[in-house]
Amino acid sequence: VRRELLAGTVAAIVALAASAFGSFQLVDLVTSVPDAPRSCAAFGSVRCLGTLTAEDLIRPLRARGFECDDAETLCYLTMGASRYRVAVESTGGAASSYEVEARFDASLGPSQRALDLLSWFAQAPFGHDPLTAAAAGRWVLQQVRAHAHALATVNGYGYEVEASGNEFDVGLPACPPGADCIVPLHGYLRLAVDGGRSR
Amino acid sequence: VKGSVRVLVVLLVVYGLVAGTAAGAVAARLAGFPGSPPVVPAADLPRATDSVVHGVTSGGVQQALTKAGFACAAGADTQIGTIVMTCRDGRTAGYAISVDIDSAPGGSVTSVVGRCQRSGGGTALDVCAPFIHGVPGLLYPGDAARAAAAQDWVSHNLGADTSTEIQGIYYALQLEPLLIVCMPAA
Repeated sequence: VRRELLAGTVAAIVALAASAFGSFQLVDLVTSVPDAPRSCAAFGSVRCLGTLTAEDLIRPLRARGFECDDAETLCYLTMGASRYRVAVESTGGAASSYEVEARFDASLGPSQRALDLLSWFAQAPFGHDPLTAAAAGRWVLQQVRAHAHALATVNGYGYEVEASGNEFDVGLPACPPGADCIVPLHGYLRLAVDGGRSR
Repeated sequence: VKGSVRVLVVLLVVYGLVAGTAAGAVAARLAGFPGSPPVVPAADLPRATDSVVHGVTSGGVQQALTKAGFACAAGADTQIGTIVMTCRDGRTAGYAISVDIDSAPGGSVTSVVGRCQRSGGGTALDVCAPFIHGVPGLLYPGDAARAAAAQDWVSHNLGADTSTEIQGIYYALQLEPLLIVCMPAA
């Protein structure tokens, strides 16, 4: 009897550990779904970036001194010989796409801060999936180092990186404000991420 | 008795499964689902406080220029919220020599631009060189050693359209019209 009781206890402990591990993995897998594109409420075919909100993106920028408009769709920062612009599209608070631009002196290349900004925005849709977040960040930085213009789909999201150095047809002015255009900032990086459209 | 023990063992295993599943789900929930913040931004993202030259104020630069014989006057606020002070040196006939000092509302310098032009047009490196060479020193008050690196770069590159970063400061030289820009590299 004692032996059976002991075996039962051991079996119960093993069952407890195994089911805890299994359910953790299962729930973790299921909860990675918030990182997948989803239909934005009442906006037809436009897809939102999982559970990501415009506020999630704008708040850290404001905290770092970016100037954002009241609608929280556009943020700017000019610092020294660098300029940044972030545009966020949202529907009912949920982010559906965003675009990050950085301008800098092409002869010096982008600063580490500019690369960190792009990397963070590359990872932003994957708050529940650190591996995919890291992979997205790495891919974007690879395109930047290769001076490439590249498109990719990452877990259903559309990614576009413009790092080929094309100084024309871009959103940011080529000179810092107030500088009388004496320092043309021809270096240019752009990352655009969107949730795509449902079929 | 044996039957009761078997029932007890089965109950223990079932309890283990139920409790383990619940604990695993709670742990997974606490680890990230949903409503947890998105990816935490890196500490090194661009920030507005890096747009100023720390420890250098518009008043300090103005004072240094005034001592050197410049006359300073406030300009208009710029669109991006910085304040411009323009200091002119009228002692060299036939040349327009000036320094624009942009500063944040707190007074910290955001950029210094030195210009030197011959009134009739054209460049005059020989006359302007000492002035342009001295501009980086405005960002290193009382520290000639730190200014030396930037001034060496100016000496070697004066006459070219070029730029560099030295000790966190971005320097750009332009030949036509002759000017030097100094601002945080950020």
